[in-house]
Parts: sequence; C-alpha cells; structure tokens
Amino acid sequence: MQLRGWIFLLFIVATGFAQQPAREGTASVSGRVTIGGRPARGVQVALQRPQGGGPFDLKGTKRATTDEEGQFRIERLAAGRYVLGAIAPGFVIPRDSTYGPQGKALSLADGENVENIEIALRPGGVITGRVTDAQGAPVVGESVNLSRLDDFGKPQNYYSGPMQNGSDDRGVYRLFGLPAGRYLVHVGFAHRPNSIMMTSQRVYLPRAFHPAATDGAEAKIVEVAEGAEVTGIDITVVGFKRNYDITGRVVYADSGRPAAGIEVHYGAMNEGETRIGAWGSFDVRTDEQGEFRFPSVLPGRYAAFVSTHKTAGYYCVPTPFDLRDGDVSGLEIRLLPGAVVSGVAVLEGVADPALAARLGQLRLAAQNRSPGLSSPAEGGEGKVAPDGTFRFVGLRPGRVFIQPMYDSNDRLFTLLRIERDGVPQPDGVEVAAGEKIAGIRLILGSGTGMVLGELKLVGGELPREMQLGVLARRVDGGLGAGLGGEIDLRGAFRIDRLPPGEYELRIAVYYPGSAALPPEYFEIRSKLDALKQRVTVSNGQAERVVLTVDLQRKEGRQ
Amino acid sequence: MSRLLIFLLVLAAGASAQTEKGSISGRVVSGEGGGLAGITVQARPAGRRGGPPPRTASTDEEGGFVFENLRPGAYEITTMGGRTFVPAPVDPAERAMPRVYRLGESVTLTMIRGGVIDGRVLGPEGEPIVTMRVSAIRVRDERGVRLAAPVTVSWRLTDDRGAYRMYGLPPGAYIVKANDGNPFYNSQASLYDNDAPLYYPGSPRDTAAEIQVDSGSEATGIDIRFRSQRGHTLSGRLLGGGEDGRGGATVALRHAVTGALLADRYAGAVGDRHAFDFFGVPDGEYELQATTGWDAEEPKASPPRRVTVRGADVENIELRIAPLASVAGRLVVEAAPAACDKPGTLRFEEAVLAVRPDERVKSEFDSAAPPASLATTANEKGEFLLRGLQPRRYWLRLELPGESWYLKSFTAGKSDLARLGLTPKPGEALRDVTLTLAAGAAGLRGKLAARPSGRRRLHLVPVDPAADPLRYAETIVREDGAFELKHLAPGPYWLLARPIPDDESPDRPPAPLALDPAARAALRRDAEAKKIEVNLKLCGREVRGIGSDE
Repeated sequence: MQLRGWIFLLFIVATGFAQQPAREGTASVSGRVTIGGRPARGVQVALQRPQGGGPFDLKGTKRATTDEEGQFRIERLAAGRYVLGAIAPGFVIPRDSTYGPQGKALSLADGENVENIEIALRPGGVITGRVTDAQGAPVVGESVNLSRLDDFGKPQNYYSGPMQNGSDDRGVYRLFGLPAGRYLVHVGFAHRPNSIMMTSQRVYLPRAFHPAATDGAEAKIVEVAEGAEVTGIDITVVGFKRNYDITGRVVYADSGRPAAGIEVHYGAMNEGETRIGAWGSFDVRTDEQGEFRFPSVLPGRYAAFVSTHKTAGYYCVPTPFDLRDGDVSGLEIRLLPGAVVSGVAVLEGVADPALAARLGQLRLAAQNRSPGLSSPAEGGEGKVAPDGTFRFVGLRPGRVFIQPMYDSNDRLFTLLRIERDGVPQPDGVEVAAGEKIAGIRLILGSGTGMVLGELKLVGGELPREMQLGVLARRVDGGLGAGLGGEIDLRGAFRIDRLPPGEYELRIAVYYPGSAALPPEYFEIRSKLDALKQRVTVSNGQAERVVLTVDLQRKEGRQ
Repeated sequence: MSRLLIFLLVLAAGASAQTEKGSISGRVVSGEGGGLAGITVQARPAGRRGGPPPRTASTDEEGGFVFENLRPGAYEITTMGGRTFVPAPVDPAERAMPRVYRLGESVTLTMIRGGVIDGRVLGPEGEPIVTMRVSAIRVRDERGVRLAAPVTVSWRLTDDRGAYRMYGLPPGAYIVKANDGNPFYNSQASLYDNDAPLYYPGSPRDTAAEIQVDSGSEATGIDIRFRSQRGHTLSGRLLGGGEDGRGGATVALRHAVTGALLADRYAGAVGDRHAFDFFGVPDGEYELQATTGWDAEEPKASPPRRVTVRGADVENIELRIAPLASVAGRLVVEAAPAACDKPGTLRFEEAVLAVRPDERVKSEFDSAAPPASLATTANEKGEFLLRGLQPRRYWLRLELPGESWYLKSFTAGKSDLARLGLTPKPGEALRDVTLTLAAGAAGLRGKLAARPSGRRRLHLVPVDPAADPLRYAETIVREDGAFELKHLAPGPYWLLARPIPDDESPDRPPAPLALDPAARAALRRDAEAKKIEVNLKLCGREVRGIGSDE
C-alpha cells in the first residue's frame, strides 16, 4: 500500500487546519440517501473530520440517520473540511479515496447551509470461492485480492478495505460490498515496481489467479453485476515457496570503517529504477561490525539504504539488489560525507511579535530534488534555533530545497523565497559534493488570505479512477511543490492561510497503477495540465475563482 | 514417617567447547508424532523486545528445521503461522518462563490442530450485522484452569451475512465478543463506535457463556444477538510526555476484575496532544495504564489507575508517566575452580537474566493483569542491562547453561540483593549489580509419588540456618510427579513438598517464598519437621524419589 506525492500534500493541509477544531458551529448539511435511485430509510450518514494518518476524531464525527424519505440533516457544524458519506457496510458508497473515511470531501464555511446532497448507494456484489492446492487441500489464511479492470481495460488493484479476512481453515473466502465490474481474483505475492510486501513467515505463496493461472494474461475475468453474488470462484495454487535473507554491511566510504547501530531498510524501485517507491524494514540495525540482515525477503528487485537521521553528516547511495532463489550476501552500503547548508530564517510582512516569537520552534525539512537513486529516509530534518539560524548536515549533492514542516496542527508559516547571496533560488540551492554553504536565507511569510474556488468539468467525464486536486504555487518561486487544496463533492476547493501575493493555480492529477495508459488518458491529462490560473491574494480576503476544463474530445468519446 | 527411595547417579557433566558460531536444529511434529512441513519457526534471543528481527526457518517435508550461523546465546524457539495448527499446551510447571535453547541443542516442538468457533452476529430482527469485529477470548486453559489474564486469541470481521469463523484456536474455554472495537483500527467511523460490546449469546461480560474448544473441535452456531446499547466514553490526557507532543505512550484499558486487555490507544502528537479516549465502554470497573515502548530512549510508565464507569462518561482522566529504572551489572566467575569437575568455559551470552515483580510486596504498580517479566542476556564479557523496571520489588531468575555453575551471590556494592531483593527507585539507573557464579554446582531430580489432585511445589531448604535466600530453591512439580532442580550450591538440604493454592495461576508465579523472612522461617520449620534430608555433594547429581506420604 502506498500513497503518492500529492495525497501527502493534502494530508499536510488536513493537519494544517485549526489547532483545536471547534466542534460546534453554524453550518449545516442536508440531503438524502438513495439505493438504486430509491430513498433509503435508516441509513447512518456520517460527517467525519479527515485526519492526517492519525485515528479519526470520533467525538468530532457527526452522525444522522435517514428518515422514511431517505432524508438526513446535520446541523450546528463548525466551518472546516469534512468527509461526508454513508456508513452502510455491504453497499458501494461514493468515495474520493480508498483510504481513510468513506465518503466525499466537503468544505464548509461558517453559516453555510449545504442542501440537496445526494448520496447514491448501490448494492454491493459478492465474490466467493475456495483456495486450494493441486491436491485439493485448503490453503489457509491467505488474503484474496482483486484487480478491477478500469475504463481503459487495465487491471487496477482494487483495495477492498483496510482489512479483510483471509481464506479460512477450509480455504473459503468471501469478498463483499463490491462495485459492479470486471475483476481478476488472485492470491499470493508477485513483485511489482514501486510496491513492497513484507512478511515474517519463511514461506510465501507465489501469485495465482482464478482459476489456476500464474500469469494475469491467463486469468479468467470475473464479471460482477450490481448486487450479484458470484460463487465458485476457486483458485488453485501451485504451492508455497521459500523466501530468503539479505545480509550485508554498512561502511564509511572515507575510512572504510564499519558503521554500527545504523537503521537499514530496503525498498522497491520504480520502473526506471530512478526512485525508491514503497519501502520498509523490520527495525533492522547494523551490529558492531556494521553487519545487517533482512530476513524473509520476497523475490524482486530492490535497493537497500540507511536512515541518515543518525549517520551524523553522512548520506548514502542506495545499493540495488536482486533476490531470486537464494540468500543474497555481501551487500555493501557506503556512507559518504555530505554537504552542509546553513543560514537564517527571517520573516517578511509579519508585524505580530507573538507570531514572530514562534519562528524559533519551526521545524524544517531539506529535500533533495535531484535525479538519481537516493535514500527515501534521508535525514533532512532540522529546526530553527531561537536566534533564527538553521543548519543541515549530511546532504547529498544536488538541488536542495528547504521547507517549513507543519508538524502537528497548524501551518503558521509559508515559505516565500530561498535566497543565496541575495539571489532567489526558485529551484533550490545547488549543492556540490561535500560543500559547506553558509548564509542561506529562508524568507517566510504568514497570512490570512484564502482562495475559494470551484472546478467545473464540462463536455465529458473523468476516468473513474482519476482523482484531482488543486495546487497553489507562488509566482515568485516560493512554496516548493505548492500548497494543496482538495476538491469537494460540489467541485469546491479552498486553500487558506496564504500570505499575500500572487499565486498560480494548477490541477494535480492522480491516477493509480503504473501500467501503460492509452492515448485517451493523455488527451484528458493534457487538458487538465494546460489549466493555469493566476490569482492575487490579500490578507483577510477570500479570493473566489472558477476553473473550467472542457473535456470535449475532438472526434467525440466512444 | 517417610518412606524414601534413594537413587544416586552421577551424570556425565561438562559441555563440549563451542565454535564461535553454531546451529540449533529441530523438528516440528504434530500431536500424533508426524513431522509438519512448511511451518515457520523463529529463533529470538531470549528476553529480546524489539531490536533486530528474529531469525526464521521453514520446516521441510519431515518437519525438520535448522538455524545455522547463530551467535552463541540463549534463544527462544517458537513456531508461528501454523495456520490451523497451534503449539501444544505446555505443562504448567514450565509455563512461567519460556524455554531457551543454546547452540548445539536439538529442539522438538509439538503442534496440535486448533479448534474452530463459527457463528453469526444478528440484529434484533434477525438481520445480519455486517463488518463487525468479533473476537475469541480465551479465559481458561486446556485443563479448565482460569487464566491469570484472558487473552484475545483471534478476531474476524463479520461478512455480508453476519457470519464469522475463527480457526486455529488453542484448546481451552472461550468467550466470544461482538463489537470488539472499531473494525478499521480507528481510521474511519463505523456503525457501532459508540455502542458497548456484547458477548455470546448476547449478554454483558459477567454473564457471557463459555465455549469449550478442543483440539480439532468445531463449535458451530455460536450466534450472537446484537442490540445497540450506548456505552460511555473514557477520556483524558497523558502528563509527563515530551514537549512538542512527542514522547507519547500507549494507554491500555483493562478489565479491573480479570485483568483482560480490552483496548489500547496511542496518546501521541496527532490531534489533541497526548489525549486519549475510549468509546463504547459499558458500566464497570476498569484499569488504565500508560506505557511507552520498551525500546523508547527513556522508557516511562504510569501506575495503573482504577476507573469506575457508572451510567456516564468519565472525562479528564490524567495519567502521569514517569521514567522507569534500569539495572546494569555483570556476571563474574569466582576464581577458585571446583576440584571435582571440569566445568569448561562459561559462555556468559548463554545466561538469561529474568526479573519479575514480587507481588507479595504492595506497590502502586499492582495491576489486575499479571506483571510482565523482563529478561535479557549478557554479552560475552558478562555485562547486562535491564531497562524499563517499575519502582517496585523484583526477584531474579537466572537461567544458566549446562549444569556446572550456580549463583553464589547477588550484590550491588555493599548491599546484599539476595536478601533485599532488587528494588529500584523511579528513574534510577542502578549500575554496580554483580552476580557471582561458582563452579561445582549440584543437581537434583526425581519423582514424587502421584497424587490424585492438586499441583505441588517442591522446596529445597538449606540445613544451615544462616544460609541466605539464594541457597533456597523451589520448583513446580510436573503433573507426572517429576521434578528437577539444577544450579544448586553443594551442601545439606531438607526437601519439602507443599500443595500449590488453587488460586495461584500458572501464568502468575509468585516470588520464591524464601525472599520473605517470615515465610522462610515457616518453610524451615516445616522442612525440619519432615526431615527429608539430602546432601548435595560438589558437582553431585542426585536422583530422588519421594513416597506418597511425604
């Protein structure tokens, strides 16, 4: 399971809301719930606060149950971001994301009355069957997974919930609440780029598809109609295989000494092997001799690297390795002396001394955006000292971008510019190997400006799996990747706490999977990417914008 | 009037010298004796919490496995992922401390087929309750003895028909709990978040029906009638955590009567800093305790706190976490070698030090749940470190390799811990603990004549009235009457068998009686009256049978 870039951005904004969110307010939401177009009585509707990876706020979750006409109404709501959905296990519920609360984003302003929201539920389908080996013996405790064919006919992982029961002691499994569609049904593990699975078991089940295929191309497609139960979707597996261990050592490249007590991880790379996607570890650390062991690694191509939080001034270049059908030993990860970047954080356009005093608690992250395989656990984390200075050590050569981190609850400061010798560095600071750079200025602002917008899509529909967000980036090159705003169920978005200035709004596009996509996808994508709109933000003002994208295809959509 | 059967046997002593690295091999067998293939076995350094992942092996077609290239040490070898198989029950005499293995030893692990509980959760009108978390809680062991703390063995989510099926259950008696917390690990709202859990057949915990599970048995139709009954909220915050909302801790909610863990929450930096809340809590008596991870840089804990829920939410509960103590020290070997024996080199890494709270001494850390024992192994120099000790009295159990060595003294500077026990103060770092070992240890094993019922404990009482508590030894007699004591100081002793009180749980062993001066005196009196004497010679290995009217 992994989350990609801009979803993370949304999480940062999500946690960036009010410190102690007010639980009561003056906004309200009403609407109705339908099942197959007909009003649904007695369905629980929940308005949840999205949480940045933490437990959901149960006290802050507002609930209502629909009446005879399927109507619901939730009142006395505080302004803010919510996820509105029905809690109806077994039904297909419209939702933005397969992760987190079920439902769709809804952004509420004070006193706003949002009416006529329709939550259209559909009866979920069921796939059930048995997993057995070639002798007919049950295969027990294996989770059965689905790939759903998308609008382009490409299989996409279908995430059937945060947890599911695996096959039971008879090999029987049952997946329910499925949207109508065409599925591939499979068990077991197959290596994919950007994805990692970790196990503590010594054996693993190589992937097998219904009915008895090891290759997806030979898998039989299972068609599920709305609310239908498809039985007898049995899977015959070849059998379990052993997995293997990886051993190696971590050394300081300059002295050749072993590096003891260092956290070591491994991760799966993307297709071009330019980046490490998903990664993990079992809390593996090097011993006195600098040696480490990853137990029970599943076959695939990976790269091993270290967490540089504790390597005091060193960074590492990840070491790729292949695991097939034997232990891999003698892996070496080299620690190289890193560059040092130091400077001072200053505020611009902030008059409030109480706010200025909080600059000395700000945490910063240094990110290297240069190409080349790098440790995703690079320890570019620092703090602004009470005198405003900061210092990063152990940096990899390349373009280094320094940004404030919005750790717990509020985004107090926003990066306006990075300057080196008075010259803005919109693309980050160029750092050479081992270089020591002083005098970097981080110019930070704080503001109460807001962009309230609406995204209108006309002339067509998005592919089902495609998700959109909005990114605001300062025209003068600050903010790094930009500040994200999610698009709610009405097409509305809101980006707040912006320092005054000129911003460019763009659409961020997310599409799951790494399979080759057809030209139709890129046609839509280019229309979304082409949209750029400038907006000038002032303190205390809500700037209203409408972004319109015409999805009309030249020759008309099939 | 004792009828004594005396056998004397000197067993060949002395372990062969070990190479730097070695292996441990063994076999996983089913209760019927055949080997079990494809079972993952793990070898974990004894006492290790966190740290590097354990080594794993998979059994071959005959059930065999081997761990090669292991460093010298003491390892716990356990099976995992038996799927429908579970480890066979262990004799209560051996349950208190996990068995450890050293290089060159061979291991046989027995597994038996687990049982099944199968049923549905249905609403008031017989409608299926979908995606509800159902769990099987083991409350009695395979012999019907109540567990010191009930354990959630398995859980499942009900499917679209309200059905659940839990398999691989170790034999014992179970209660089945419906609505055992949010089904999504609290990542999103579910239908019954505010509702109290219910137990099969549809009752509160006190009147839950027990379900008997035997090896390979299947209990079907365990249907639970679920009625939505609003529970209450227990909420509060942690004091004493780190600045910045860092340094949080996990808060455990336990049932104050049984000690069962009901739920836990991490009170960390997300949301309200260091706040915690539990929802859907029914009326009753509870215990709340916050602890940081044992691998935290500075382990901290709060004393358990009693909370009563009676018809209303309980808010603003404050749990203060404070630094725990640590104990560092070393094992040393007394210079003078024993004349009779070639003890070989003692590998310090193979010794396991375990400490367990002495519950006879009252403490604010007393809990309904059995206290955790802490264990570690020493390094090759004999140095050890135990972290995360609560400020209370601990007793020591030293697991030594071979048979040649015994613990002669247990000191910290000038204070004699053998008499005082190990009593760290809050946050204290005790640094000069010394465990002195001497060669020439004696051993004693034998058999007590069978008795119709009741478990027994065998005490070994030194004849010398001035002997310190280290000279006393005790062991639980196995069900077949067998007993074994090793690592004993040579000298004359009295033997005394005593029944174990019915309320003493095998999972909650009390501190040795000899630690308490009054109990020690009583033990001496009884032992002296019985006068079953045994003289353990230097390096002697005695085998002793004791008649029925001991």
